[in-house]
Amino acid sequence: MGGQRPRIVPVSLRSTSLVPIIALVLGGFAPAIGAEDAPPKAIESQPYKVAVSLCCAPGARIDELGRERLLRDWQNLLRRFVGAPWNVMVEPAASPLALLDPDDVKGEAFAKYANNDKVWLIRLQPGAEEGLVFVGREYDVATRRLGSLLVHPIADWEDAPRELLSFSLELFSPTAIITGQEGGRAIMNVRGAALEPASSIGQVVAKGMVFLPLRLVSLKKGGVQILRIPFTYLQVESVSGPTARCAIVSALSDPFTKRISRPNSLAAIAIKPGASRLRLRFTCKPNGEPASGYIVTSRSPGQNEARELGSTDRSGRITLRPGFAPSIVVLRLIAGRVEPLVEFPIMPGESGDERVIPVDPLPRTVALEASVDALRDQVVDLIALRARLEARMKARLEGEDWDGLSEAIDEFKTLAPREKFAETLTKLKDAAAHEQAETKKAVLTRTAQAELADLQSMIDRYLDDDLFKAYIDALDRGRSGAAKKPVANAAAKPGQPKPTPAPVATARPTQPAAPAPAPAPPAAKRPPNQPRGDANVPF
Amino acid sequence: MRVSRLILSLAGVIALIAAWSNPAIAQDPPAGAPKNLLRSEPFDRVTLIDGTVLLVDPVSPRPLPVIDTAKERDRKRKRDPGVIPEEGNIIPGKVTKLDPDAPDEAKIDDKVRLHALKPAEGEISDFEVKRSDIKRVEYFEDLLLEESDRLVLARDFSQAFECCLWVKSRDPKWPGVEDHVNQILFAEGSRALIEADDERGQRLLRELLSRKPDYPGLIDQLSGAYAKRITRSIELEYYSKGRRILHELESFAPKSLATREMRARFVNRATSRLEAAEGKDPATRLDAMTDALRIWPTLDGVEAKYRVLFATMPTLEVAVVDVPAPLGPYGHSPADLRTTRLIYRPLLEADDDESRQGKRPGQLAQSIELSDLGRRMLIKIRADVPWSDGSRSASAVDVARDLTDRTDPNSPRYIARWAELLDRVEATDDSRLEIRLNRPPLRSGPWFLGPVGPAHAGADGREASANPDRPWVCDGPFTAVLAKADLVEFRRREPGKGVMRIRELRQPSPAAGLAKLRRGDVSLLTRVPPDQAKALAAEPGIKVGAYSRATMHVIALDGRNPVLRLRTLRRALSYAIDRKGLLEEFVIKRPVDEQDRPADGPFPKGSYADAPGVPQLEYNPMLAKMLTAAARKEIGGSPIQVKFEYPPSSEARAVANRLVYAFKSAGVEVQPIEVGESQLESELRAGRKFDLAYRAVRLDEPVSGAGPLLVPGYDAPPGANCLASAASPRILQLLLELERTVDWPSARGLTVQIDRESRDELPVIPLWQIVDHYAWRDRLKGPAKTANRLYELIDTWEIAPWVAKDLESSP
Repeated sequence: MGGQRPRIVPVSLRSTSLVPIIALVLGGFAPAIGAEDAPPKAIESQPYKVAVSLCCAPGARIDELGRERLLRDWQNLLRRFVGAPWNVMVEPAASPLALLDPDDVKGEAFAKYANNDKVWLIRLQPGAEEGLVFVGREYDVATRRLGSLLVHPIADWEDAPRELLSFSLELFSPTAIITGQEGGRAIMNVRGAALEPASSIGQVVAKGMVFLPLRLVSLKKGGVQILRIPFTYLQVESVSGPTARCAIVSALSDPFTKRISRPNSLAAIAIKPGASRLRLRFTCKPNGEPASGYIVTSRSPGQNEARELGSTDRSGRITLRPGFAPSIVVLRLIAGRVEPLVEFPIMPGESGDERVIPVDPLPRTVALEASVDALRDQVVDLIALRARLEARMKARLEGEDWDGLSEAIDEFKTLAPREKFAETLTKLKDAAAHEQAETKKAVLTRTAQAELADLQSMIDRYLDDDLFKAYIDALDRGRSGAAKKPVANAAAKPGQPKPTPAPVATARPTQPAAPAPAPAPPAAKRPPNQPRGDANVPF
Repeated sequence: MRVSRLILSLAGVIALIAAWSNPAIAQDPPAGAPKNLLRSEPFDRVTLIDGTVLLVDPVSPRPLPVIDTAKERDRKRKRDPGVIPEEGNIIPGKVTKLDPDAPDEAKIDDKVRLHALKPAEGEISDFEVKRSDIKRVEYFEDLLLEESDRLVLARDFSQAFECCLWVKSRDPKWPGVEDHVNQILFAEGSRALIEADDERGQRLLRELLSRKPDYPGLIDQLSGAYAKRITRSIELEYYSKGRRILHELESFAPKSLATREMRARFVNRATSRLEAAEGKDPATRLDAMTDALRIWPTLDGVEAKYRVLFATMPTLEVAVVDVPAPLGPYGHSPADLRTTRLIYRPLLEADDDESRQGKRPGQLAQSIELSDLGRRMLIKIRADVPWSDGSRSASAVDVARDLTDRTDPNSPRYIARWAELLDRVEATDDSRLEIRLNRPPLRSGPWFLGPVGPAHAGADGREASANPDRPWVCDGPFTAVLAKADLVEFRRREPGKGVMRIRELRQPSPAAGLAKLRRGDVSLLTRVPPDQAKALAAEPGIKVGAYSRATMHVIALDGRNPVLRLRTLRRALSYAIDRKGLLEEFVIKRPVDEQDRPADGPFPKGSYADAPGVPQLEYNPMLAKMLTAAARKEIGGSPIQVKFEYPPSSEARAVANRLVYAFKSAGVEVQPIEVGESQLESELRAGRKFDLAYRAVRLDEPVSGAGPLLVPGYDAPPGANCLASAASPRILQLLLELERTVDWPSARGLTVQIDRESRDELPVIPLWQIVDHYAWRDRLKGPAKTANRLYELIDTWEIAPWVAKDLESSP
């Protein structure tokens, strides 16, 4: 949703208080360690200083010699393909990092490596099925962020250096500062992006990469608080030198709000799909009961076609396996058949920690939509029956079979009249509006309104009796010897229903509802199923 | 030389064949003779003394009187006017003997008037031929009988019989016609026996027996056929049928070798059955005697012994469609629900105050105290309920283990709703138990109605040892002693007056069970086919009772199949079913009534959960077709193919193929698969994937039973992703909301809402509701006219011994 919205929110980075923050965070600590008199380099020209710990699990049967050979070959490959952007230092085998388990490590474990930009914790171990795998995580020192757990299989041991290079590229998450917004897109300066890589493989930033925006807030006591902007991602749309232009994919209406009391700035760190299971738990507001039995769908940002991922269990949980999507997706929780309760972007395998997402279950709206669905079924059935009878009446008329036409007209008269459905629909609408006014809680949501409008238009369009009346006239004239010509004209008049409209045209799957023609508010530029404002933001 | 001889012989053979095939030389019928006598007009064939053969209209009289040559000569002599009698012709004063008005015999007898059948144009068609000029007359009747002989040789028995019938229709007393009929019956009957069409063969031969008992070879032929049928009946263990055939055989061949042999075979088999059980335990001997008497009821002295032994161990034999598999403290299938109360005591016998106060005898709980809005329960366990292995009495430990087992996804006793509800269970001592729940339950009672297995035994309820025949450890009034694929046996733990043994015998079909009840081979039938209940109740010696709650018959749908998640397709399937027609025509075979009627939702009519004013589900094959086409369009136009699993119950079998045909007519390809009732139900409840499944569910309580009715794997372990099998997400959400409801009015309102919305959402396709019946022989005393469960109040039941007596006369 966020990616489609044109939003221009200028971000001022000229505040004097922000300069040290940016320098501290994304410039790294190099200026502090290096020559104090030398002017600090622009961040896009600064390489990443990476400490790498490669540990071989005993089960992998790789000795020290094998490890060294692997690292040596890998470093050769780094020089050939990555070059200047990375400044890699390999930790010895006996490093304390070798004792850490990538799956269960905390950020505090890397406190001693503050003079690096990144720490890569890599473990070579037997795979779950066969062969060896690299398991690893990146720790970004500046943002104090531990990256997703990644697993990379080694198809052939002879190719292990190449696989390690590939794994290193997967682990590497460049950092950037967000310099502003333009045309609803975020503009970023990416660290190291101005350095010429040895090959295109070593390119620091590329189109399609996803960044996690961070807010750096300077505290009164001098420290910097790094806050993640929740349910917000930046997807690189184009790269121009060190500058990347990104689409904002967010569940928030204004993710880069300026309503922050303390001086702050915005930064970003790249994020990639991880190997963790994504655990989500949906709860109902306000009592916190589990939102169980609701369907979760996903779609790529900027696309409308969604696919069903599953439904929440009794405790409102759903676990999404790693790799359920290749990149960032927008998840949606659906009540009933179509009513979206919440929608937010997420990166597959980003974290194994459970996220609790409260939602408003909208029980009255869902009940209303169930009634509308039932009524629509009846209307669709009636349309099908009418179409069949109309086709028969037409054939009888053309064959001048007046008795047959009369019989078909009589049969047509036994069908439920249009007024019955229109009346029921009006009652449903009125009851919902009344309830909404009485309880002061949303009943007629955008989706519900779209459903009602859709059904209303179906009744108006397909349950028109003009054609039927024309056949009655034709029968009267035909029996009295008049020509059937006027009727034929009447039957062919524009805007009449086709003889046999297929019910599928109205029986829609769980896709977002089409924009409501009449009741929809004029500012409906977003897809109608999208949560309005921040009402459904999951925090 | 040899070569020339061979050539000559060959030439002879060829000449013979040529001569035989030459129409000029062959003995053809005369010109104009019809080829098919059955289709021709009647005619006679007259051969004159000059060899002329004439086909004429049937002569009259038939047959012509035979001419006696001596008499004819004498008559001629008398008639000759040249010979005057010695006494003279005319005597004065006496009236002449000559009668001037007397007919002229010569004129009548001498000539026969013949009418040619098909004279050529210009030829004379009527002749008068002297009898003396006629060499031979072949009557049409004789020709037909000759034709029938030929047809018999050609094994065209029906045509042969038609020939005889025609003769009989022309003259029933025509000489030889009866013999020919007998001959045909014998030939056709014998042939049918050779062709293994025993029933027809015996019927024909029996007819011949009634016509001519002394027909040569008939008794031997018939005895052989009867012996064959008796042998087959014995092999199939249809002893009463075999005996009936034997008695028929005895009626016409009492002293034949076959009769003696067959009788001996029965007796020997019965005797050997008895001998095999000699020296064994009383139960085995009783079964042997029951079997022996079933084989040959008049076995010398056995009946008296049987009655004595039966009195020590009254045994109830029950015909069932399915036995529990495996037998244990489970509640997965209808067979489990039927039998577990026999061998395991529940914590509560019923969900009522009397049970909670410990007033009901057949339960483990002495009392239950609720506190904290029902979230905390203190349960006191009775101390006087020993386990069948004699190790100890049932205690709080057993209940605690049972309740915690139900929360273990790896346990076969897992119940998802209970797992989510239970916080912890603590056995403070052997007789006290504390249960804490995560939230206040709507009703706690239904969770404690299931069987409680022994904590010291295996998860299957059997002794935890390496013994391959590990005995069951039970605390119910009965203990399980045997569980096979087709037989389960329970034995009362303490001696008493009533039923001491229960043997559940699995039948291949409901009809087979019914036949066994009618024959008297079993005393109780768990489920009577709905169309037979009324007729069975009218039969002497049989009583019929009804289960108190109606059974809902539905087609369950698996929402894990994306096709079945399509609302359009579900509606198409619903429209394709002519519920009323199927119910009336094939299931109950009578007009629908208040009890047995088409369903409009998942809950039965009359239940508090039944939503009022819900219109009936329509049958509209045209709409079904259109909606299927729409569903196909939704999935991209590929054909819709699903499997339809159904149990071998009489209703499911009666309608399965018709449902498949209805779905096929609507455009859905359905493959029917029959699966054992217990197997199907337990697999569905365990969360196995399926497409469509026929289910018959008896709802004890709509609030607690709605989930498993609408989603078969509702309580399955989470790994099976069973909640996703709900075809309608809306109904699933309502069910889960119902699960968390804590007050009764809201729960009732939700069940009514589920019923109402299910009509449109179609999480299952409702078919009909039927009140099931059970039946018993009147030698069994105790079953009530109406019951919740089959073995209700089994302690009060009594059964008398019974031996099937044959009527030893032929039918």
